[in-house]
Amino acid sequence: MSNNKDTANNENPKKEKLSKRMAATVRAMVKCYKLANSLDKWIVPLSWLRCIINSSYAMVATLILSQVLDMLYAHKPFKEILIQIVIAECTILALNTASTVIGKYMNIHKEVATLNYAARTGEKTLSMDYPLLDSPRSQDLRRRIQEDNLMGFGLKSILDMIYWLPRTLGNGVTAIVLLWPLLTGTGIFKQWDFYVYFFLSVISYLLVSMLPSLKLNKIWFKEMEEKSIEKKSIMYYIFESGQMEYKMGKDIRLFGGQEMLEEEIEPGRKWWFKKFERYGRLNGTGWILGSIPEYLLTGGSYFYTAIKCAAGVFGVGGMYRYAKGFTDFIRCISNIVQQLTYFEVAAKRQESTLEFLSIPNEMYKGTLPVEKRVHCDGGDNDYLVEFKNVSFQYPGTGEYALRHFSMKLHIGEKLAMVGMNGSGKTTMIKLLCRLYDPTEGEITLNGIDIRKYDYEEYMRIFGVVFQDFNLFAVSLGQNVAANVEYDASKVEECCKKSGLGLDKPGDVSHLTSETCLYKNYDENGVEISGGEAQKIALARALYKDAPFIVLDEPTAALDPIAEYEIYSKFNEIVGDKTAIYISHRLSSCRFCDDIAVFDKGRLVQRGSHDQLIQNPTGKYYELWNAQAQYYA
Amino acid sequence: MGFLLKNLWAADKFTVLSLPIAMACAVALRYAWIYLPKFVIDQVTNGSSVGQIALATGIFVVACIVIESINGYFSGNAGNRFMKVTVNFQHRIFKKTLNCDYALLEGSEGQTKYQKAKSCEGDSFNDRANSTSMIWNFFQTTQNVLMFILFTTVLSVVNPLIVVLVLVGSGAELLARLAFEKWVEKQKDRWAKTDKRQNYVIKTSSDSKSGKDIRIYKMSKWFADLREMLLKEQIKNRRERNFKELVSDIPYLLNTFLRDALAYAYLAWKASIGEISVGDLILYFNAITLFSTQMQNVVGWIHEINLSNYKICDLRSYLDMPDRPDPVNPTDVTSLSRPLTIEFCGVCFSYPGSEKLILDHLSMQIRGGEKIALVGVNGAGKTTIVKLLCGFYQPTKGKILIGGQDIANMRREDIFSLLSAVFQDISLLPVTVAQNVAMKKPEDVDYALVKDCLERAGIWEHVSQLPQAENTQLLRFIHDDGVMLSGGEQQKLLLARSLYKQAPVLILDEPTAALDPISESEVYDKYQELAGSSTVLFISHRLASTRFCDRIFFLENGAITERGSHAELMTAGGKYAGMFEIQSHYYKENVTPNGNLALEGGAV
Repeated sequence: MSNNKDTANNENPKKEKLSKRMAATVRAMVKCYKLANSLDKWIVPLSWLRCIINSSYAMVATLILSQVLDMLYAHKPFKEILIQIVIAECTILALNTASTVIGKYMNIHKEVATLNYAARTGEKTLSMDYPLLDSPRSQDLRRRIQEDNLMGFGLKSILDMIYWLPRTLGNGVTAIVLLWPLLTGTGIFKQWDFYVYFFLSVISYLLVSMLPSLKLNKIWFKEMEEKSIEKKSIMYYIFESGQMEYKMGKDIRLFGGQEMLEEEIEPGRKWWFKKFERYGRLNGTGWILGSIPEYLLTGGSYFYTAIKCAAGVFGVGGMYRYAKGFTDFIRCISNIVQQLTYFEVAAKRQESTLEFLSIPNEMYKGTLPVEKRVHCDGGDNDYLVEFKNVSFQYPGTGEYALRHFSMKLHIGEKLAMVGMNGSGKTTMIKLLCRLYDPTEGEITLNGIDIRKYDYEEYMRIFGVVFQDFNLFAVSLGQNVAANVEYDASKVEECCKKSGLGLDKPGDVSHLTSETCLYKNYDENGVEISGGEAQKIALARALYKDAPFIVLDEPTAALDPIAEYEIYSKFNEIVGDKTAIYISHRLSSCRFCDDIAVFDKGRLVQRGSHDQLIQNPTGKYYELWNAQAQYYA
Repeated sequence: MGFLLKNLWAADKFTVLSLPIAMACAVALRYAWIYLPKFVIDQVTNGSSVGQIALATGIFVVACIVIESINGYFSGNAGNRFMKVTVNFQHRIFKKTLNCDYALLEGSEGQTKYQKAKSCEGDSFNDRANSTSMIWNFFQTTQNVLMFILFTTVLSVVNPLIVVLVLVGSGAELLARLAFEKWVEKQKDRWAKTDKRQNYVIKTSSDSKSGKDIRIYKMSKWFADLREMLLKEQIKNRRERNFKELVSDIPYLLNTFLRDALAYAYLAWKASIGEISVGDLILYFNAITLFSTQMQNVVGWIHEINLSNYKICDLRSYLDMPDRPDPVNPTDVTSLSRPLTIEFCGVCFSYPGSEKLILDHLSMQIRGGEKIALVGVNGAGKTTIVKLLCGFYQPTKGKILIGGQDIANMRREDIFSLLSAVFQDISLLPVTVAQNVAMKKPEDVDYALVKDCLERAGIWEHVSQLPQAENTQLLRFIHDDGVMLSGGEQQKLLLARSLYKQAPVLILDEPTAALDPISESEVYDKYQELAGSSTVLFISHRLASTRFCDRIFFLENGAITERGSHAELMTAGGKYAGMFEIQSHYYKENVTPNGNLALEGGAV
């Protein structure tokens, strides 16, 4: 116990440390209460009320028994005893009923709080700046939250804790009430030896029970803090990621990967087995350490009161009552000290969530309205977007995804962007949509830095189909409209434009605007193919009717005929909007007025197909011929 | 239960042996506990000396400590060791998922069973897994029944009527509780539906994957609205449940009141006329209280055991899902003459549970070493052909021959050994690059071959620049330093995987969809070299690829309608030619932008 030696040599730091820890614990407690209160304002008052009632219940139950015992001991007539019993039992019935009713309300409010808590993380994710979403910090926090929950330190631990404080205090008060005649020491109870016994037993109990159990607690907490790679074995990847459950299956079977995977998961199993054995030993030891002082205390209390009773200080009822009072009181003190440590840990475990919820948005958001005229129907869509010497690095990487990139986007123009994998096309779109801000340089809309515009309004001018777009498991109509309310005929029109024929509502055989997509929200939902999903995503962009439309590989999953339909109708689909089209299929360049060629984060060529194809040393020529040679 | 105990025995013998001892100790302890007050009071009322009291209490306390220590140590151990069973079950689910017939896994029935089995054992240790809690509850119940019997004997000494009173009261409580549970059972599905929806909404909104779409389309309000709506419904459901539960608690409240009042009065009366001692009064009263608590617990536990039992049955039905048996006299695939021929004879197929005929009397012959391109619109049945060829599904009608032998007479493993493939779904595992290519344990990987395959797939240059080259871990889920590859790189890696196997038949399903034009062209240029002497089935929407194939099969409505070389089919001017025209339209010189093309062959 090197720790003891240190503190013995130096009293002051220990005190300081203790007071610091006490302060930390109190702060943690306040935090927990604040959190619970903010999630549901009834939780705290209800838990206190219920504890008061429960304590009174326990008190009455003990008092009545001791009263009856005393009366019997004193040979009182049975009728008097009976009246006593009936009164007490009626009180108990009332308290018990109240406690049960409040208990139900508490259940409801606890669940509301839990739901609200989960919702908050979701809300935060929705409102957070996009770059923060996958930043190392929020990734780390998300992982910590997951770990904390996995270790059983979710909100439930806080709610338990909220309830624990009034309950322990209630038990303490009950015990004091039971002991009251002894404590106030009036009349025959004026016993100095009571105080001696009382303090001796409190101190010895604390010593016998607390020291080992505090040490044990420490081991436990350390055990739980331990981060381990094994916990995240490949099995959990497959269980938790969900997506690869059967898609993976084909490769694993055909290539015989079973043996490899089975071996990969084996260390995880052994690790858990060892942990369980260790937890088991700790738990078992804890049980023994807990039971010894418990029985010594109870035995001691009965022994002390029995002697007093035998000496005629109080009756048998008093003996029962005081023995219980003693035991409860001392237990309550040890409970407080022990639980405070737990409080501290549990509060610490909430920090990951609280920190996540309080990540500040860093992107500058201006207030300038995007000029009015362009919003109105029939507006002239008068936009000029310009990238001025823009460089960009993804957070946490050292490489430039875009380097000294300058480019003008003209009004109403159809622009094709081509380039090799990783040449910066998608990055440029992300910057344009203000998902990220440039590391250097600026992007302007009509001559004004896009950061100065109102964010919401700025977003309104873009309709984008990302390569990795997501649809949601709600109705098709809601998906296309990106809203709970949707205009069914407009949905139908947009779907038609994107090449997805819809059936009339009521026709169950195929897609209608009311059909729910996927099965994770509604069991009657339909699974859609990759091609259908791509068409729906396109319809969503069209429904938004934004002046800018951006399509990132919108035909990758389509067969040549469906692809051709989109190509040939492209002008009809986008109308007089400004359109940006990204594709590895260079045929798409033919219906765009203007082509931008990307290479290694720079814009290397710009012009029409006919112009660019003239330059046999240019990147475009290389790309085009790589593909076109096969179709010549 | 026997099933679980057997599994527990396999996982941890110590626990199985220690539990009866722990149970015996727990019962003895309870018994001692209700005797303590009586014991002490009797000492006092008998006028024993201080020394006698001290000795008696001391012995009592020491005995309790010893018994409790044994009980506590064993129970404390068992509580954690039980979880070994859960881990074992999780592993068995995982292994079953790896090894069962693919068709079982992909089919909706198998998926449902899988999901149920998974939910039985919990995704983490946070929600208690059913196997663990069922074993625990089983022992608790047994223990409580034993105590129950003991208390009954204690109480019936005073008056058997007390036992009857308690039994009747508890019986009424039990009935009310059961009625409530039955009602809950009925409502459960409706509640679960709302909860499932809310889970989806919260999970999706907390997921960074959807971040871009949500921001561009301003969907955060939509999510908030949905959540609000569902929350209201959830609260309504909870209210309903709690109110009903409150009603079912009325018998409990009344029972407690009547039982306590009557028992008190009766015992007090007995004591006042001197039939029992004051110590006995306390003993009996404690016994009654414990007796009733015991009853309540047993009711709850039995209910939970029942629920767990259903879930364990789900688990077993998944684990015991039978695979299609391998043929009794399997064909020896090593003796097949190479290069292998492939033949489909009048194959019909529809997915289980569906009427729709995906393949309709499809016949085709592929010669040994031939390179075939399979072309057709989305949904024509190309991917289904691949699944049938791999033996993942069996044809509803007709035969599939590899090397002239029916694959129905081959063992699953043998079919797999003949084939190599790049599937459309990109499926990489969180292991090293080399392991992803070889799909083998690290010590079994042929690193020279891995390097060679990566080179041929055109990704070695990238891999060699990774921090640990081919030993770099992929994906960030398990290893924080794992590497994420772009879509094009992943596809090249899959190509390397299919090459590593060096199988006589190679299937390529859209292997270039995510590649840029130059990488795509490289794959085409090296195609002959990549394919070697293998028989190849190439599926692609990029018709340029068909040029490198010996023959093209055009698939329409589940049958092959055109076959021949590119030149032949172009001259024939059928649907393939039409499709090729469409795709090459924009690649031709002198196309007026937006110029329309008359679709030939009525392909649209």
